[in-house]
Amino acid sequence: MWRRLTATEGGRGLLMVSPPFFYALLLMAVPLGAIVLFSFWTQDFMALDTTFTLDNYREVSEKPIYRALLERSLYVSACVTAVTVILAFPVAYFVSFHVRPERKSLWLFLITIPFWTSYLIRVFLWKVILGYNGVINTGLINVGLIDEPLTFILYNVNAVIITLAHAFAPFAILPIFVALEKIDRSLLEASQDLGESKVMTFFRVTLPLAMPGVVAAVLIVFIPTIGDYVTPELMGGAGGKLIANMIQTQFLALNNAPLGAALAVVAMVCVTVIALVFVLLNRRWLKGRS
Amino acid sequence: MTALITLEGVNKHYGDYHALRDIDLTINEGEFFSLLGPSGCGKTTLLRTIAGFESVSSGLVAILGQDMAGIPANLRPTNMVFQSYAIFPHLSVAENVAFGLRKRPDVNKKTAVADALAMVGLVGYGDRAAHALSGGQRQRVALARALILKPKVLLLDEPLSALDKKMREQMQVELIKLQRQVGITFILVTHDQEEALVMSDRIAVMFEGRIGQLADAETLYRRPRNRQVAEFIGKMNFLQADVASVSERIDLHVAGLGAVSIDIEQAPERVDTGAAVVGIRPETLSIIFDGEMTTQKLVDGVVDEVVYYGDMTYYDVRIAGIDKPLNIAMKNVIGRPVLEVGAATRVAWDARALVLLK
Repeated sequence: MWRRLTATEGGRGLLMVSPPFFYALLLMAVPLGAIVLFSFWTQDFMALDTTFTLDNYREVSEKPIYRALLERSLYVSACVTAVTVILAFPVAYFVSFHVRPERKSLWLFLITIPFWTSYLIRVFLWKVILGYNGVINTGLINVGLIDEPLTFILYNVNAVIITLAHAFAPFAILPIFVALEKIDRSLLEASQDLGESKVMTFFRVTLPLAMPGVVAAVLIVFIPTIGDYVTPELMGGAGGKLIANMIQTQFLALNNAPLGAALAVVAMVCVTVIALVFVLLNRRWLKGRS
Repeated sequence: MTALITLEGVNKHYGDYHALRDIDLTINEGEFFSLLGPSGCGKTTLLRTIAGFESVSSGLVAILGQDMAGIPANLRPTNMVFQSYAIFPHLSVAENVAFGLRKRPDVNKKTAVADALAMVGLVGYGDRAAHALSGGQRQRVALARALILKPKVLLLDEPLSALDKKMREQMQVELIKLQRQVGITFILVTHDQEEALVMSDRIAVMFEGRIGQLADAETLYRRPRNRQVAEFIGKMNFLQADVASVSERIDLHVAGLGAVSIDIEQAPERVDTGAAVVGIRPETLSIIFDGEMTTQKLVDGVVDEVVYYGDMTYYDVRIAGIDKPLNIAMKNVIGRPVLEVGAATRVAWDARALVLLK
């Protein structure tokens, strides 16, 4: 058996992928399967009723709270994605086009600085910055621009968007940077040679060629933000809670794992559909690239 | 012939590096002009200066009498075929060709693109994706994309260097035909001297940021102005010489060949009496085989090396008094044997083929 496996190219390949494969199977596929299974069961006080039922999904679709939370989650994720990608693009562009080649790796290194501290600490830092007596409010009051602290920047959806956008910025910068790096600079000269100004060259050549990077950035930011529950928990206040917080509540506080599982499955299906749309878009942009 | 591009005292510095040194150059309308030189000689920099991708450190670049200082590439009446062709990978062939037409609403896009593709022999390729093209086809798209805008000058940056030998020779002929057909000035940058000789009306040979010689192909080949040009263009044998007198004609003594009298025209550089160098092309020398007659002067020698090329045989022949064997190119005509190394032979030469250099 062992000899058969090591003798052929295919066998050696199988051997090499099997440890990560079993690891993924154990830690991802099995829990995922369990969640899907749970979502068809019901909680009967302390015991699980394992008869197959669609009751959980019926409840998710009928109760307006779940729908509202899911919509808010999608809205927040969309905002975070848009803000992050739009702000990341100029940074990536600057590093790719205006930083000397030998300095580029230094710049990328600096961009990863936020990751040097834990995610939780960064979220708390934003609290300090955005808070009622926080850096922004005291700063603006001392300058004299406002008379009383701004309240729309903490414990609501805005605060969640600001914090998440900052947290995911490097994830958006890197794929866009890579896409920009791959653009042959003679294409930009060719565009100018053919009569286009620098601005039009950006829109006709640079941006279309950077689109695979932009789509990748959108996916990388959008997918994890939907499931994030730390930031909305700490920054969202009462009105800023998202679907992930509800799933957590169902599982841990309300002892209704089946309903939480159903919510998780619904959220996952939403993300999958949106991600697939973007993957198809990416295919379209990638079509015709050599 | 009217001057289209004028360069006066053009200098270009990159930090300490002096890329272009006092370039004076006039390129005429409708001319096929080549910038020839080894890599790093500044020929591409000069081309990019005309295109507007490089600014000059000092000097004047004028196109049609208009000073181009401060005018960006997109506003100049020039178009370029890039060395990498720079075909937009996200656009189809037709979209690539039509790229520059956005600002020309008076042009009917469809027919213009069809005409341009027909001109470069790519009829029916419009819908192809750019990445599905071969090297030769990419080059044709790049040509069509530039020519569709009817520029005053087409700049070609080593356009044939990425093609294989057969394709390159075919494209050389096509480019010449195309240039005659459209009547646009072509400026070609190349390091391939054969390519420059075949294609150009005039050639500027560049070394280290300077123009070594500016002439038509024949003059460049037959009367190279200095040793650097003579060495770069074709093969050349160099012999030590001693100039005895300079008047209407030049009398000199050439190592291994003896006393010679040549026309003053054969000394493109001003030569004084004393030590000098004589250049002679391999194909102007010939080996006289047994039974062959010649009226030319003869000198005895011994075959040192034989290189057989099929249509030609190149001999290195050692001659008394000459330190390096003479390289001689012989056509392989019927009945003529290929000599062996060590064979004694006679070499015929003609004083009219000599070039006297410093």
